[in-house]
Amino acid sequence: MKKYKVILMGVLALSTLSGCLKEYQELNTNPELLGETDPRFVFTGATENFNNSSRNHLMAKYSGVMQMMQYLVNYQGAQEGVYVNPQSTNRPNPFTPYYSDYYAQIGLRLRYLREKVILVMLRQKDFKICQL
Amino acid sequence: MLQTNDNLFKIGGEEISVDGILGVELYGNTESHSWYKSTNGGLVTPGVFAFSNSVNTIIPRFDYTPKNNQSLGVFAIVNLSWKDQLFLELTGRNDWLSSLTYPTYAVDGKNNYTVFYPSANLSYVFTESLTMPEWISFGKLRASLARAGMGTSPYATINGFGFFNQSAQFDPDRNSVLIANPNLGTAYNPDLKPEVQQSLELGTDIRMFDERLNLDFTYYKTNTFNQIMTLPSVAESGASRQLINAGNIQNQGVEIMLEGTPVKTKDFRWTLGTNFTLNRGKIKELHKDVKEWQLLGQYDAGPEIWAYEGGKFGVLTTSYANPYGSSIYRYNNENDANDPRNGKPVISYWGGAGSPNRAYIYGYTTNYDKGINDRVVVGKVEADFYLSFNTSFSYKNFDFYALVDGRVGGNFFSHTYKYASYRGVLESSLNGRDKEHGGLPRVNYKGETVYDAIMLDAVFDEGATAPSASDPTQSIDVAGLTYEQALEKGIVPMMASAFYMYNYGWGMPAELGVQDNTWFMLREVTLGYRFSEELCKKIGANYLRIGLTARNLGYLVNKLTDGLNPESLSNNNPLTPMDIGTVPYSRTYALNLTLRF
Repeated sequence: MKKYKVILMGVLALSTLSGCLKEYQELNTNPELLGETDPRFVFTGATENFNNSSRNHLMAKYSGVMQMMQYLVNYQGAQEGVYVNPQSTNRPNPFTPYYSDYYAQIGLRLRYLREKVILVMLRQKDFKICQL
Repeated sequence: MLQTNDNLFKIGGEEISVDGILGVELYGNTESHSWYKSTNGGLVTPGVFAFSNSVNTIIPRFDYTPKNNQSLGVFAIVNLSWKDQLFLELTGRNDWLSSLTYPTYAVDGKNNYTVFYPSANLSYVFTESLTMPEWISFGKLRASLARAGMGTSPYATINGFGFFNQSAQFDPDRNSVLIANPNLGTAYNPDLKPEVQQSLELGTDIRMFDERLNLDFTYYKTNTFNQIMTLPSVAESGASRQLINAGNIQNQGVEIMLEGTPVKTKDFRWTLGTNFTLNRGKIKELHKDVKEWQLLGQYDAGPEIWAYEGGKFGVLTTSYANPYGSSIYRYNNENDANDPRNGKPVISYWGGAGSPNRAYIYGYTTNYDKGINDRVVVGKVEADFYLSFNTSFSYKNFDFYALVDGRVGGNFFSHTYKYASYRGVLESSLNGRDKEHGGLPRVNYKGETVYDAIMLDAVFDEGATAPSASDPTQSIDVAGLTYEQALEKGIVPMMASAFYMYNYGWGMPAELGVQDNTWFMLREVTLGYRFSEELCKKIGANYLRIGLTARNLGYLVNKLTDGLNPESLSNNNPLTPMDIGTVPYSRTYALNLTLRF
């Protein structure tokens, strides 16, 4: 008799599980992630702070790239070593974050906007798509 | 939960006792609400702590997190025992984990959310069945092999799938604009599997000489397979990170506990004990494409923490192709392996600073300066071992207890040292500042001879020149000379203060701030007195004891430089081995009175 009870409990336990997957999937769905949005917001999101997205970008640009391009000069005057350093054994290494910015952020988001948002939207005609 | 106890079975004349448990466990979180309100802009009437006393309008905040994690487990445990000397426990468990399911919109999600894991535990009291020498009073051997399955954090499976996080962003012209960012950047993985942890444990428990000498020995080995982790990937693929399910991370170690009672008489009892633990973490296997794993990025120009396949779990390294924290370049004469200069730090003349007491600065040439971009391992996170000793006496009604614990080996990076040595706050940075601390003579701008120049055990770089002491506008060729040889040749010596100022501090070579995390501390001393039973009876109590405890009394051994405090580590996580500002030493004294009725 005891044995049957155990088996019965097992069957009961398993039958409650079959309905579980759907419930668990729902539990593991983040309600704050939106499936659809206005493409304009996506464009704003991708291109915000396009130029100086961090202090690091700004600093490196002013102290490195822009001086090397002779676009500006240090407030104490042109410094040896910025334009050319004959003692240095390695090449100058200007700060160029645009490559990784493009692949990791801006370009990635714009590409997603073009391929996954606008192309499947009903209001497609409202947005002119240019070839990236 | 169903349970059945002490069922006796007879197999071939031997009696075996069987216990069984069958159970269901539901585990998870519930939705959480939090509510927050505070006065805004200060109080109108000082000292009146009421919300209505707020200067500005209060905007209360409300936060809500839905229920997002649940796991269901069905398990069975069977305990078999034979003659109270051989015990076997078998378990089996199946879990269903919500964190490994995919939202229904991710149609390709594999939903590998079910995991089965068994375990077996065997223990054998051999002193019950074998004839042992008189002096072994109890002996037990145990072995266990177990597996455990684990999920991941809620919502993690959908990482990198797309969809949007939308929020309002401040905009100077329009006050607020909406931005939507797709959930991208990590390669989406539709086939995440449960992590599996497999552990093997072997141990003994032996008591000898009427339990006067006890030994407990444990060896363990734990392997974590299919760990869910984020590894870097090629940015051009559209994702710079990937969520993967791979690896074999192994932890193995030994724990030994030894306890003895050398003296045991009616009035006097003395016991001694020691604990030894040792753990070795290792990455046996990581991923077919990725062989290194960053555990902690660079913080404040210090080192990074990495784990390499086939190597230790957690080493301190310099950053890749980064001038800040880059390792000191070491002299290496390729033509002569026995050159005494080999391995010495390479320096060069960096220029002069200040007037009229001008400092001439020689500084370390780093790997980065030499175009060597690879990371350099400068330390390891893990301790070689931990060791503790304790002893206790009791004589009549007095008792005494002392505990010393400590660790040997392993490193951390001291940001305190980095900043303090640069500012000359530490005792070690007195080196070379005056005659007592080995300062070399130098003629200052007034023409006086002062003893504040530092001696360096370093070699000048190829092609290096340095200013002459007699006329600093003239350069002397010092290429390949040691600093000492160059001084003899007549270069301007460097002030000790300038050495610390320019070579230490933010961005200094990482190895300079690496500490040997070895120490032993007198952790606790307790002295107690138990009042006699007659006295207890007078006040109607059963037990009355008064005790004085002192904790964290001091370091018996501290290998950290300049008396830095090993307890200043910024975090309990062993994989953030750094201190950021030290904390003062603190001792605790406690007087306690125990009274039982």
